[in-house]
Amino acid sequence: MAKKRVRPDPADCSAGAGFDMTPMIDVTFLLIIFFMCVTERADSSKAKLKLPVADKAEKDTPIPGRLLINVLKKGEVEIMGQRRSDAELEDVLELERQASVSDTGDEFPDRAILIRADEQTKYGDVQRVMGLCMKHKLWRIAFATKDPIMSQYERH
Amino acid sequence: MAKIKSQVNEEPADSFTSMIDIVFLLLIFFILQPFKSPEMKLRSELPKDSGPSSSTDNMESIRLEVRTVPGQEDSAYFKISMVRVDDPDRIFRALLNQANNRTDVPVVLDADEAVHFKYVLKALDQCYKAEMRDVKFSAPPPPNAAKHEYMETRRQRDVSR
Repeated sequence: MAKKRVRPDPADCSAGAGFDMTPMIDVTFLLIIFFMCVTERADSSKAKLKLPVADKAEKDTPIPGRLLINVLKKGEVEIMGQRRSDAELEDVLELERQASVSDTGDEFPDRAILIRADEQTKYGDVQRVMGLCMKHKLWRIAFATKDPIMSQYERH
Repeated sequence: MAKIKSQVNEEPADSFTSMIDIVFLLLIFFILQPFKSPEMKLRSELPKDSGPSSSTDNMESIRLEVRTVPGQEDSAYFKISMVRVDDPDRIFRALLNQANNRTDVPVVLDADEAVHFKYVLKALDQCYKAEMRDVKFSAPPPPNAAKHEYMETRRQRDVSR
């Protein structure tokens, strides 16, 4: 016996095509990828510099509240996108000094100042910043470098 | 009859939408990926004393100098305990030779103010490559008045060596 074919009721949504999630997921993934790629570039604390390459550098995992000092090619100091004079830098370093010591007086071992200097910056300008760090008893520093694998990729 | 046959052969059309979506996603991802180069860092520690006669200078240490080539702004040469090394990639071997393969010997990194930072970092990197982790930066010269005195002390020390 032939089965009687039932024509779906156009008014009944549940009987029709289901809600298609594909475009929404696509758009979501697109946005995630877009913001993943853009946030790295739009980080205002990092000035656009050509960093030097170091083979023995370790991966940098950002610590919240860490002080990041950019030393530009001409020797200017930039923190959070703003140029700072030596006097202003000293104020920032004094605040960092207070923040780097816990209530018990111990220093946070992982809290190192990150100095980002252009590969063509004169060492004297970096040394000046290092000198000010020393003046404020901030001994732990780290120099930002470029990933050697990525730099090879860029060269080719 | 013909009408029924044509209906049976009619296959549902392939939807290319999802495939195109994925292709575009991959395309965007791989186009933007090279720009997102992760940064690395080289840890270091600053000397806790300043001036020409820092504590590390008085100990048995290796002095690694980074000097500018006169007249050539974008080049530098290296000196390890007064022995000149031109190839920066050979510094670590020269350091180990100088230290008789001991990695616990402290290294004092002394660079000219005018030298490009990349050479100083290269020198530091080579120390770490030689597993010599005790690297101290030569203390920066004291400001203004004491600077002349500092330079004179440094010159005399170099002459005596």
